[in-house]
Amino acid sequence: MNTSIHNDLSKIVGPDRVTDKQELLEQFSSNQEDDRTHPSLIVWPSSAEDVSQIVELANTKFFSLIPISSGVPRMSGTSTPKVKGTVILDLGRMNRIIRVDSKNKVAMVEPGVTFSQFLPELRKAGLRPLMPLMPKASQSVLTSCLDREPTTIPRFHWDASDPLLCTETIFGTGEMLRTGSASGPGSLEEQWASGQAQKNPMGPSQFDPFRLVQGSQGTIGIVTWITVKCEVAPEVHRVYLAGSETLESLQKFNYALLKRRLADEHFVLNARCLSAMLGVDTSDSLPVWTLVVGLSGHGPLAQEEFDYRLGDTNDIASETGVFLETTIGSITGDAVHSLLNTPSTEPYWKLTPYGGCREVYFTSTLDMIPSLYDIFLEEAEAAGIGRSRIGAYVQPTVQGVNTNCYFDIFYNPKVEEDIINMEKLVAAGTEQLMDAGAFFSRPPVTIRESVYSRSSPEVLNAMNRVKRIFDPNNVLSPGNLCFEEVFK
Amino acid sequence: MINDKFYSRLQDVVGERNITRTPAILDTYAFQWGYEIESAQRGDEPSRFGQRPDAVVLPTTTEEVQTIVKICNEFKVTFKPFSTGMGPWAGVSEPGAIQIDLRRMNRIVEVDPNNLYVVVEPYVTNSELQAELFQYGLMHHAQGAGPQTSPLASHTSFVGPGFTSPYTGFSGRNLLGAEWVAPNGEILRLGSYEHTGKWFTGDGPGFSLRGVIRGWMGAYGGLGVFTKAAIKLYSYPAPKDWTWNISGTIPKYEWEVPKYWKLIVLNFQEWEQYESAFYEVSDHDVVMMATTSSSEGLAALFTDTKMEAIEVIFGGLLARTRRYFIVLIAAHTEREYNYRVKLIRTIMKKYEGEDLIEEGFISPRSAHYAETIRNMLGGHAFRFSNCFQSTHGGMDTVAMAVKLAQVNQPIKSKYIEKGVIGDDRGEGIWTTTYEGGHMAHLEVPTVYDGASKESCLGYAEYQDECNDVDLKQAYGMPFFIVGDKVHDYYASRTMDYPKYLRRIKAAFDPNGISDSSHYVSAKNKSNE
Repeated sequence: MNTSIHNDLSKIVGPDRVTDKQELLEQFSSNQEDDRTHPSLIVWPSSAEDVSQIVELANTKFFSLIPISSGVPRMSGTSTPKVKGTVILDLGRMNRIIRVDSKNKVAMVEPGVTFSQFLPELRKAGLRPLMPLMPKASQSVLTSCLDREPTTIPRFHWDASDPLLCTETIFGTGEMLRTGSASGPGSLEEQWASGQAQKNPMGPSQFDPFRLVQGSQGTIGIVTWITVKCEVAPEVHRVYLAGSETLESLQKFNYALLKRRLADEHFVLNARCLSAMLGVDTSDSLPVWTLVVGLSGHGPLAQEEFDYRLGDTNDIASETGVFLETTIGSITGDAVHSLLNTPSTEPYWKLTPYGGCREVYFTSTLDMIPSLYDIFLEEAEAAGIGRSRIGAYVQPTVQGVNTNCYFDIFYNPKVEEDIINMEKLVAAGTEQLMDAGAFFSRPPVTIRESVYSRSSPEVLNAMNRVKRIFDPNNVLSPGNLCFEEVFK
Repeated sequence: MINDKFYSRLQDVVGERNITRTPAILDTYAFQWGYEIESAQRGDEPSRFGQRPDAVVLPTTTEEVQTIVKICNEFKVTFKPFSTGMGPWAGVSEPGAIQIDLRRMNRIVEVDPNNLYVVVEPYVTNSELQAELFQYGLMHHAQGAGPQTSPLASHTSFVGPGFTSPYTGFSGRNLLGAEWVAPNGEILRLGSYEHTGKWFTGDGPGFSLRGVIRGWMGAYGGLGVFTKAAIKLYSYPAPKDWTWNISGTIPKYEWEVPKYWKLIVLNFQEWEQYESAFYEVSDHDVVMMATTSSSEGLAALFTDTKMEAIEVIFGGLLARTRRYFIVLIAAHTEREYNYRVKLIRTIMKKYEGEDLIEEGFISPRSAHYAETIRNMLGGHAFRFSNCFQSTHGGMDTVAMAVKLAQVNQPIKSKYIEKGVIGDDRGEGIWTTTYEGGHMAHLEVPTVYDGASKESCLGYAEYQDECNDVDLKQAYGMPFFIVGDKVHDYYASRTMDYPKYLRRIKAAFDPNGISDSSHYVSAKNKSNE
């Protein structure tokens, strides 16, 4: 079967774009002894047409596909095969920045475009990205958007789906649909001629397919380009810090500031996380929590805009007992500024302290985070992972309506006991967090069963109906989300 | 006629006081604004009345709604949910159908003032919700349909611009979660609620079922019943000691305008200057309102009677107005206010514009400030002829809106010359931006005479021509591209999207009993 599929794929993409080389396949496998986790082939399509034909072939030859766009390290388990004979659909070579439109503050990118590639092009156009905090250098812009990764500027985050706008998607049926206003009427060229820029993500018409593809972990469709919201680059932009021993003492300030849409970057880090980000070993000299607030101004009154934002922010700070500073100990706002709107250097910053990092991430509200953090620290201690090895990143999202939170477990992947303890903490910690009100809106594979056990049968039934519409043969990423394997 | 056994089963659910099949009452549900246009577009005699329902049932809980929907499935009876109702899509479309009137479900269930969301039932109106939220210094996105309409209906089920869209966005984008009685009677609570008991997000775990329920336009009640909606909130920019104070009587009432609010009408000579200024103002996210109309529209907004409007129009506004947009600056602090006013004036000067208020061509009173945030459509848009409707509606960029305004003008003028629609020289448009200028849409409000057959037929023909232009010249998907025939008309130039809608309809409404007249039927009825 393998040879036959290999030949068929070669006909579609060309022989040099399919491989069964073990050393390449192994990077996707989590367990060499379990052949279900070992892919059979990797294929590199170069166009949407290639992707469509490959999906159609998967439906006729009954093999599963896992789309990937980003490079290593792969930390979520989404790209690990769960069924035998899986083909990895590596979209990394579809890496064109198709269009940057500064007037309409939007860019159109293919899956393989990384933040490292994207940012210089945006800068040339006078734009800045809406992006996660220091993603890995090989992180695909498209994947970041599809995974609903939180971005650092809440005031520009209107909807949980931001900054994703329109998409071109090949569903599991092999059918292509452009979502949002990109669907038409008319071709993309006709739309550009009428002044459009694929800005409206909603629709077409009376459904929102982009919301079904986003967050689906590759189970509904394969996206071959997206448009992504950008913002005008500021002329004035500074970062302020505030230290605190507790998260609670920052709450009033955070809520008041978020309501006003005054700040750009706005998030809170614990000392472990901040020192790892900065690549320094100063966590002992840092406050337990550091609030990061970016302020900016742009346009004809850039400095005046900045001054008003700073003035009003300082008023809120003094009313709520928070002291914004440009320096905390040896850490400066400028140093933090230099890490914003840029990907991590190599190696990925989360791997530098101990070599390994497991992320536990969920959505909640700001007022819930202190108790959730305490619960996780207690679990960390019980699991044999010291409290000091837990990083925390608290990112308000959707203009302050909710908060995305990352608890990072820093561990040494060469120490077996460390791995066992880390896994113990993930298992027990996530259960405790869910019991206390954390919502795992983007469940990684390792905890998916636990998360979906808390969903109602009606919601699971609805998700399965959607799956059957768009991927009736379950060829796309079987084993992710609540969808079970079908190919044995 | 409705089956007695079916009626009796429904009566058992809600009690005899909350169900009726009295013709006089049923007829009130069949009288909706816009029927006269839909009937004309179908090729029928224009009629202000639509289909009379066979019964109306008034549940008061989600569980009652669920039971009603299950009984409808059992008896294969079509139903249509109804909250505040405004338009032909609110009524049933076929004989034998029932109306589920949700007016007894009228609670504001929860306000979370820190985490900026509110949970409402279907019959809470924008006006009621605003009154509640102002006490917290908050506001929601109130759709343009007006203060008497349901925010749940707009957020879950309908296209949703409003006067405050630059500041509060679009209804569908503000929906955080929903309680949904699907057409098969299952109750689904989207997002975080069923995992945490809180409504702070409607997305996940995994993909978002928001993708099924509404899209850009909403399903117009064609995919079950929404019994709760969690809606995102925004800061209301007024000093803490400000209260909603009014004196006098509608329409000549006075309202205490918050301290740092200011209306400016930026008038430019040419579209090019207008477009550049509109982009620049919108990008800075400094205004609560940014909207365009004609000189007639401007007069309608900032006067109180028809005669006053006419006097203002011919007293100089008509001669002076070129390409303008109105902005409402609504700031929290003096510092914010001063910066915003200076920025607007800087941009106005850069593109050689003038302020029509400062120049004395139009003078909004305090009540008009209130009516911008209340979306007082009834008192203004309906004033000239009692009937209006909008053509176009495509939503993407400011640039598309500007081009479409120019494309539309000669088309509209043609119908004005025929004498079938109101004369605004073809200039009457309405546009707004959203989310810091990231999106914009243009619609063309048009007044017609609902009592005149010629006028209704003429307007209907005009709307059909606009739809055709949008389709052929790629100006986005207009409002009201709903129902089998119209969807299929648009399908060939829009990647055949109706086939996916039909699959959704089949999967979630296996008996086809949630009225599909303004959505889609699982089987392609337009080909039958």
